[in-house]
Amino acid sequence: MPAQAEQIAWDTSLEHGRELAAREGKAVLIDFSAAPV
Amino acid sequence: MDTVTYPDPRVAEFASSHFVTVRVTVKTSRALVEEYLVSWTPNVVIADDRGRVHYRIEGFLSPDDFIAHLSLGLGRFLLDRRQFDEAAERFEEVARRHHNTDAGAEAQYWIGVARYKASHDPARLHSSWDGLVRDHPHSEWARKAQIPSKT
Repeated sequence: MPAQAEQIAWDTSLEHGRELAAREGKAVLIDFSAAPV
Repeated sequence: MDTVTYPDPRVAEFASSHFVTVRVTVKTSRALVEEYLVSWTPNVVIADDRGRVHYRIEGFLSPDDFIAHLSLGLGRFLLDRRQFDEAAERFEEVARRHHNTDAGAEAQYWIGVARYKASHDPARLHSSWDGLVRDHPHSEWARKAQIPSKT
């Protein structure tokens, strides 16, 4: 059985994403999409 | 992007390792669409925790091209944070892995900038940009690297 591909775990709150980015010293990748998660 | 690029495990691994990943649905997030000047999708913005935009990717890209541009965006993020050596290393990886692409040319341009900013040595800029003009003579990045001299 093949290994399951890793999926992107989208956060739906930009505010939460910014807080996480500040804590982890990372950039935020914001995908503006026509489709909801 | 949801059909081909995002499901690719290489994209998922790269995005998850280097970024906090947030999806904004344009139809229900008009204020953010206005704030980030999103007129068309796909539209991927690389921003910092204060909302400042460091890089933008518009339109569909294949998994390989998308990883290259995410890596460029990461390099620009590091460059803007004045982490010049780390930024140069990121751009060099793009130039090495995506040598014969537009992203490779863009990376070669920014290698010169990052190495110059780190060293204040103009020779570091010129050697990188000379390589850019030699390896990608028809790219817009090569044109940007050819500063006209005064007559």
